[in-house]
Amino acid sequence: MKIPDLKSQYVWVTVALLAYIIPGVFPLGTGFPMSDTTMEIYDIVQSLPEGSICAIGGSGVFAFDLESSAGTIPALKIMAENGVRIINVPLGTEAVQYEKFLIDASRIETKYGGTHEYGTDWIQFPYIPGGASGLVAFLDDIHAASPADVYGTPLDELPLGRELTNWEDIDLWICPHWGFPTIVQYVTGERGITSISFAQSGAYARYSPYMMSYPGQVYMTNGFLGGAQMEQLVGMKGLGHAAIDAYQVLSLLFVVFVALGNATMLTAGEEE
Amino acid sequence: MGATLTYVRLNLSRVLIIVGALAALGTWYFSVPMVDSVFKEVNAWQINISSFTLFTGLMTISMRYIRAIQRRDSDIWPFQAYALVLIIVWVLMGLTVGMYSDTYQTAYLSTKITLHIAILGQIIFYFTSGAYRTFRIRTLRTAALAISAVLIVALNAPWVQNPFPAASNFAMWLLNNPQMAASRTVVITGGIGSIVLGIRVILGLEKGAQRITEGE
Amino acid sequence: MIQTAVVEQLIRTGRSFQLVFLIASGIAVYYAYNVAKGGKLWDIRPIEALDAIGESIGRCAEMGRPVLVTPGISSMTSSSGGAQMLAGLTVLGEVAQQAASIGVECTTNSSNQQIIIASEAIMRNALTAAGKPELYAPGKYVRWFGGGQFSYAVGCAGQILEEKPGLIIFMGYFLADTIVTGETGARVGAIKIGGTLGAIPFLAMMCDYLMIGEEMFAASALITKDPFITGTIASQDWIKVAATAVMSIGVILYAVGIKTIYTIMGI
Repeated sequence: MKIPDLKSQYVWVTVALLAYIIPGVFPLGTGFPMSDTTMEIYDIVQSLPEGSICAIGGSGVFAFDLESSAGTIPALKIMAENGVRIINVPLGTEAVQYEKFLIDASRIETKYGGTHEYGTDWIQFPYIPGGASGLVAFLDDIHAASPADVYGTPLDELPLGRELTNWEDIDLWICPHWGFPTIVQYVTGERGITSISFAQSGAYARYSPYMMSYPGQVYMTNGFLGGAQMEQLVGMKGLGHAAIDAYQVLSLLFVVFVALGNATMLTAGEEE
Repeated sequence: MGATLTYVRLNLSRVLIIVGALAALGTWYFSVPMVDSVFKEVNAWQINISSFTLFTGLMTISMRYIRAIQRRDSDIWPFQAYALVLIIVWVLMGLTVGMYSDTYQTAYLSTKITLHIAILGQIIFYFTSGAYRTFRIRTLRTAALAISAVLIVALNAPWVQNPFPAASNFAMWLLNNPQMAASRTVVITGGIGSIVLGIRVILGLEKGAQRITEGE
Repeated sequence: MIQTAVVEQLIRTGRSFQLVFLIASGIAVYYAYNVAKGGKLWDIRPIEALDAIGESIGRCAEMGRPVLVTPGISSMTSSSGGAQMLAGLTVLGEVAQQAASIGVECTTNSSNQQIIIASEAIMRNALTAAGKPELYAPGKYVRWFGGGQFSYAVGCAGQILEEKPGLIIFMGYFLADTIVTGETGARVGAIKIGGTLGAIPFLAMMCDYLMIGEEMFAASALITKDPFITGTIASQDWIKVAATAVMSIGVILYAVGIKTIYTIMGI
């Protein structure tokens, strides 16, 4: 019996129904295994003393970095609870909006009833151009590289800004984007600051050897799965959990369609 | 005079390429203050020229679109008009209210970023239909391609990892060993190819660079 | 001792070996070029994708469909994509010339303003070289689709659906945008030939013929059919063999506890 070759429109409709619409309306509540690395990351973030400073930077493209937000938002909640202060260091043009989105989405600001006040507990820097050279300039002298925040307020007028001098004031670096190798090289490799990437799954596949090169200093989570694991550790359900539902169905559909494609080819061959 | 100008035009670009390449290589390999200052100067020129090409591109696009809108001889002239209007609106908005103002940021978030996220969300449709069409086992090579693709997707999936926790370790082994070795091979050979291409450009042998710089 | 100290101060730490390797590579390329000029013809293995380009242009002529060459989404000054873009632009020039010589239209597009300007120059030169300078008009063959990766992907997909090319060549720096453009190319029945360093998995899934790694740089030389330029591919192989030898020997020596090569590479 010949299996007809499916037009791509039928594949698309199947994916839309089974992976988007149905899980969107009826959440599957898919379970997933916990990873040791994610638990170590949770412990590291949890153990930061009150008053520590965590830098978030290395992000570049908002749409891609949404996958990182699944892990970064729970980490921000932990840091807010423990009084860790945050500086957002945008090294990409859309990073300013993304980092502000992270703060808004995590609801840690006082305007949402949270604990963090702008200027005292967190600062948003403007876009720092130059890629690696901009990052190095920032690490060596923060005030020289970026004398004012994104709103134009001089750093000296902000309580947190007055305390910032250089890389020695930073206790942890979180990188949400594919710029992680730059962060590993200049932040961890040359200055010894622990760096964490809530990496997109494609980046995780490529950059996971950095964890072997810098054991105990470089950590990465794996895409939305890592984000869902962080959410579970923090006790929230967010984008990570929603994405795992979709991935559950999509991974199954992928295997089914590959098998169907081969079956179509075989039956067409038999017919001939 | 014409011959002199042609000679200068042909060779000036090569001289600039060589000066730029030597400055960049010099500052990377040698810690000599003079070389660093030459590179900083060349780099500043490069940044300015790159920024200038943005204006050149903008003017080129504007002239081309205005001509096409006036002639209206193709179906896409409404889209070209729309694009021109948007370019003007965004440039004026950025100049007047500032890039970091709430207006600009809200507009950017509501349009470009939202559209970008929407397109990213659609990739999976293309991906799945591509997988259905591509991963058909006809030879040993296509079998290796199809099986490795299915393995990586399945081994990272919750429906496999939940009953078989060791699956994620095997997936990571696949990614960290054969995949990583292949990636590094591609990166190393690609790097060597880039070096040879660069040397061809400096020696004036690279046809593409010649076509760009030599004109008619 | 003083001379060693001066050399140590002159050359940045950790880069001496790189510098020596780069100089040796330059000498190898120049030597290979000179040997080719002396008349030696190197025996280069056939690259399937390159052969397919010639056949596919002919197929486009038979079907009356254009060729689309996309050099990617990077700029020429990018450290990650610049070399790939240049290789893609070289292929664009050669394909445009070949296509024009048999009456096939060749179009291109880009998301970067530098590439647009370069592509216009290349198209003008290619048509002139094919003996048809009167066919050139600014904007006729080169389209711009915005500065972002997916605005480019969507625009390119629209161009593919509109023009229905018989051959699409993806040669340059690409990321996930090839998923959209490649699948759209499959929808219109185009032959797809790809070459990139970064997004190889995506191109492998979407393209009928693929050039991996250094093949795309070799292709940008081979497609010119210039024996002198082709000779430089031999130097590429010599450098690769040397690099492989250093790595292999270094790994073996390191495994037995001898860190000589490891130390030399770190100087």
